[in-house]
Amino acid sequence: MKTVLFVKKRVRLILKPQHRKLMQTKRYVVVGLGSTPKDDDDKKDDKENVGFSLGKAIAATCDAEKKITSCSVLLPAALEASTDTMRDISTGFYQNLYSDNRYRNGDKEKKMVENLKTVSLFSEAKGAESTGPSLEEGQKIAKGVFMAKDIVNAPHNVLNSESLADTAKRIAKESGGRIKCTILDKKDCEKRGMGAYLGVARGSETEPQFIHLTYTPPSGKVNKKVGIIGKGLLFDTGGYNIKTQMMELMKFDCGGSAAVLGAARAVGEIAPEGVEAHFIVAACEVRYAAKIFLSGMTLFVFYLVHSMTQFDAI
Amino acid sequence: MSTLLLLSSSTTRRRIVQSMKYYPSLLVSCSSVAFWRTASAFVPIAATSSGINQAAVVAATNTNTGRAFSTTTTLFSKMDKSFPTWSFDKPCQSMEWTDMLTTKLTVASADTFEAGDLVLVGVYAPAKNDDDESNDDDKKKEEEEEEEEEPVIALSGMAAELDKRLGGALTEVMTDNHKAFKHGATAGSTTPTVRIVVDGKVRFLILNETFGVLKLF
Repeated sequence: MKTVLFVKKRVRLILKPQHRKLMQTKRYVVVGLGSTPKDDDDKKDDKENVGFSLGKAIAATCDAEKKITSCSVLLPAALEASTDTMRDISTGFYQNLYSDNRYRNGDKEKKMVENLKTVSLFSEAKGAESTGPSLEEGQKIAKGVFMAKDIVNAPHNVLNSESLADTAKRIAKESGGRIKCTILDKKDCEKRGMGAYLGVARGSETEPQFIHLTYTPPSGKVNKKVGIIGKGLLFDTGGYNIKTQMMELMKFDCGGSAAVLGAARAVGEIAPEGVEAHFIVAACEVRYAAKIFLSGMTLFVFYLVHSMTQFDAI
Repeated sequence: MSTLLLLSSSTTRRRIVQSMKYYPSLLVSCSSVAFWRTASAFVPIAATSSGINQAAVVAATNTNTGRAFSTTTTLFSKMDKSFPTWSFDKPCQSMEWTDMLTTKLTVASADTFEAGDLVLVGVYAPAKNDDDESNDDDKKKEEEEEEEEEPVIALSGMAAELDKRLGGALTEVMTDNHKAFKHGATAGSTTPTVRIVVDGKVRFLILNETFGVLKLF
């Protein structure tokens, strides 16, 4: 006979030790996967959205349920066990467990899923077992996401052009030779006539570092070349055209470089074939300095003269 | 205290020290740097001149002023540590990275299903009807009617088997939360956690955080 007891308040259960042992049992949560896809187009849209959402839900639930060491996820046959879906689930899971504790200590440190060791996906769809490598690929993409978040979150007294260049070198080193790192310093940039960049960099505490990462596939066969360029202004006060609002958020100006270096790390880990990729970041900052560029000054950009009136627009 | 000791004659000093022999804790409990420096300086005199058990004084001094020493040493050692990120003259040369999680993600066939500490059951909501001709007002009315209706939950596949094994716990939690959960129509939406108690009279327990309702079945 079923007994139902309603308690209309938030309760704290005070249990005897023997009952407490009983309470340490399995926990079950039902996760929504959206509406059942009708046709192939629906399935395609579904694949793109469900993977990340499901990964995010798994991460959030695992983090909310304290002291669990293992998690099992039962997936219905309607959710196609494709490599894309599995990769998205993995990326969604790992990237939502990012917690930046680099500048926190004591109680302020937020540790995510401390005790969780394994998450097992059990799919009713055919061929699920063969999609294991795509889970690893998703984790590698999440590594890139972690990198991008680390760069954006870092305060400016930690992340300047030199430490960003060091980060790029470490990414190249981590790739095991798949990525080559070239850093152009002030003199190299002068030789190449990079006047616009050097004009901005005159307001920088550290010397400009022009970062160029080159990825070549393991086989050496290149069918396509891709270039990814990101803004590497690590802090932008606007110079004499000073920012009148949201100055405290100007460390986020390097978001472009964060995306580029994050992508570089992910590409270096995944090592795709047939593609040569170039990752470029011109790193510097704009503060106030005696040498800073003033309105009306001329810039020599690749031996062409430009007169600049609005410094902030460079 | 140190000024007093410096200016006073040796006889006066002995009197002060002798008067302190009855209050060894007073002598050693003060953690001020100036005081314990002075105190540690005249403790041997106190021990020799007044006949106090020297070993006891040394022990007391070691115990209490030792604490003061250790605190101060820790403080200084902390202060001696170079700031890891940047100095006044030199900007930071390297940025720390956040480590990747060590949690392992695996995939397998549902035939080999094993329940972990936490089990997430993925469900699809019924397919939506494509009625392009109907107005927005009509759609809203239909949605309201749907919400008012008693939900009929029909799980399929392994989810149905699991629900049966759990005595209908999954159906129950979905029914209770059908307004918020909408049978899983939003990808990534979740129901409250159901805890299953294997032995005893209690079969399953639903703790609903949103409404503060505890149900024991």
